Amino acid sequence: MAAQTLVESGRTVLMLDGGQRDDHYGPLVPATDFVTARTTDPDQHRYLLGDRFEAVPLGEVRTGAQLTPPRQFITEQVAKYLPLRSTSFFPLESLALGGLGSGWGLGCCRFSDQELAQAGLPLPAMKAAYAVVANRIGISGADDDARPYTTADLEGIQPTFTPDPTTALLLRRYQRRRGQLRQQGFHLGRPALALLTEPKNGRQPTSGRDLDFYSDTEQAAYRPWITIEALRRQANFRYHGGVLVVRFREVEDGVEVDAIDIDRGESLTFRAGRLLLAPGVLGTARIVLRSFGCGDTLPLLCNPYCYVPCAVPSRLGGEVPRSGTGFAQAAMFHDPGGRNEDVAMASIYGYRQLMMFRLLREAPLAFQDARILFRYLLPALLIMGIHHPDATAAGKSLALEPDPSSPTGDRLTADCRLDDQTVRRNTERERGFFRAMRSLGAWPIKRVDPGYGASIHFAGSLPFDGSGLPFSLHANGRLAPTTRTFIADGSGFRFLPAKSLTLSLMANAHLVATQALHE
Amino acid sequence: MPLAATDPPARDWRWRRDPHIVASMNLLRGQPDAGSKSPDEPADVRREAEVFGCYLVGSPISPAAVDLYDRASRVRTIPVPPSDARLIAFMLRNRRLVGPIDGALALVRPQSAVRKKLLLMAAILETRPEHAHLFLPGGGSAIGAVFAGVRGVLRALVGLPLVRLI
Repeated sequence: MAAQTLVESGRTVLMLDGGQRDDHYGPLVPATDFVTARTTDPDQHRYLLGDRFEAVPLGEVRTGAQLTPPRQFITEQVAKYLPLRSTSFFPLESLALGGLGSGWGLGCCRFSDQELAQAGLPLPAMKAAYAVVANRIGISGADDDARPYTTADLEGIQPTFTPDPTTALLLRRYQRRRGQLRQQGFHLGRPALALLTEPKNGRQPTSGRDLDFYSDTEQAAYRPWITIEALRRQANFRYHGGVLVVRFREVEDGVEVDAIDIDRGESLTFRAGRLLLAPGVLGTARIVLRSFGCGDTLPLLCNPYCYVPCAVPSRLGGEVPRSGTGFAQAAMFHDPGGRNEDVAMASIYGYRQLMMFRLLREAPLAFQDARILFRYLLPALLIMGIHHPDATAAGKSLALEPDPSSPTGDRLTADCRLDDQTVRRNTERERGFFRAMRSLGAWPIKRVDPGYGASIHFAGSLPFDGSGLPFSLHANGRLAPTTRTFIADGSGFRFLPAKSLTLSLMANAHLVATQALHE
Repeated sequence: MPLAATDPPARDWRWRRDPHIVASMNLLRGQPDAGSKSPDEPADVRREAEVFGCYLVGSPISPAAVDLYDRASRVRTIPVPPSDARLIAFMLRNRRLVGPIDGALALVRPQSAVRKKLLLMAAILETRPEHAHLFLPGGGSAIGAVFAGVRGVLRALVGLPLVRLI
């Protein structure tokens, strides 16, 4: 988003990017729907399991284990170039072309005015930035009880897609219990997604192939590579992929950036008038800590997260339509005060695209019996992913330590623990979600804690504070005490709402780029 | 009271599998000694595929699925400790006991090599067009699901002593 803003302003832009991409599996995915592919394609194992059968979970399940073979490029080269040591934090990082956006869940939420204020983001400017970004990427959604928490007052929202039958049942039941649930602070509706349901800028609307986790060919789902490919056609934009930015230093007339060529291992140096860093919070922390050459620790924000499979008994053994999408089908918000400032969010998914084998090993039954049971259970299964907001607190920190085996000579360490009060509050809130789902006829089966960091929502390592002290940001995104370096990712947020984060990250990136132009 | 170093070892009366007795019994039954060859020889892997596959979907599996399992076993090597090698050899000789042993392992050793091999086979079968309908959501009946659940419990009960003895 930042690059697009700069290019559209007429500036000459060089983008340095990890640049990992999939050229192997994508072309194998047929231009048909999921069920047809499953019942006719003799080579489906190649993109469903991988040529090295890498999708079959034979070991410990880690963050990102759900990535399908065509999406595993997202974590390519990460273990080597972005090493991290922690026993309490399990994030996912990426060197993919366009970063983690290559696999984001498309959820779009505009932070409320109160949330923006808590995060340290300027209200009127962010409101305008949301509108710019929404117009660029295309968002679909509904005008229902979720809307105040998703797109709110954003205009140009496309109609939402048809939900799967189990979610449709949940939504109908919500209408009957709406008053009672809203009184308890729960609001259910359709999610706002960066998924086109109408054509836009040469991109096609979703056709319901239900292969969203395997292929981007329709471009109905917004991915950052779509923007980068469009920018590459502009004369004032140059893309340099396959590089890892290591550090920067400000010189008299600009900024020098040291990088490593990922394929060749060579050191590279680039020069620019200004530098906008947006590699993601953990990547930015590495670069800034190296560049300042000191052993400080940085704070961190990360949404606590768990997921809960739920069964809707009346849908057991039910029919599953051919057409559909694997993205979130519904969104439930818990806003106990009704002020849209302390909100937890649950995204609700169906389960089909990710295949039954990932579930089979979770059942304490012989595989043959588990297979028969899951065929009957899957139409009734909903997965509820609950995100909690996160505020600055002691016990969450990042630092760099020497590591001679790493190409950069160091690795990130993270120590992230939630205090007992936060854990208790989150547990109580989750119980509320369980009760709300039960009242809608969806029975929680099991709470799964994938570990802190699995939300893949990070922020807050270089907070906005205007003090001008090192490791903080000015209100316009400029890194203190530099004069030409701006941070355009979520590092500056002082508070991390539980809502889908990416739309706000993109709006902030656009805003920082705009402000960098005028400084 | 702790045992002194000079105390004689306590007699363990639990049943132990004597390899000589097992080999002799196998010979009497006209079966080769399972411990005499590596369980990862190609013929064994293909036999594993046929037995495990047939167990998982209830009918003989396609040659293409066997080929894929053969290839997958070479690419995703699953270390097999001796206890699991004995179980696999037993399962290949006694097809009807694959389910009970799988059911018992699901309870007591869900990360065992046997379970990993069965999971690999299940994933392969799920991606074969000829077997995919058995894994797609929908279909089945409440009676079938209840039957599978009850059978799963009974299988585990039968399999538990086998897993401990073999």
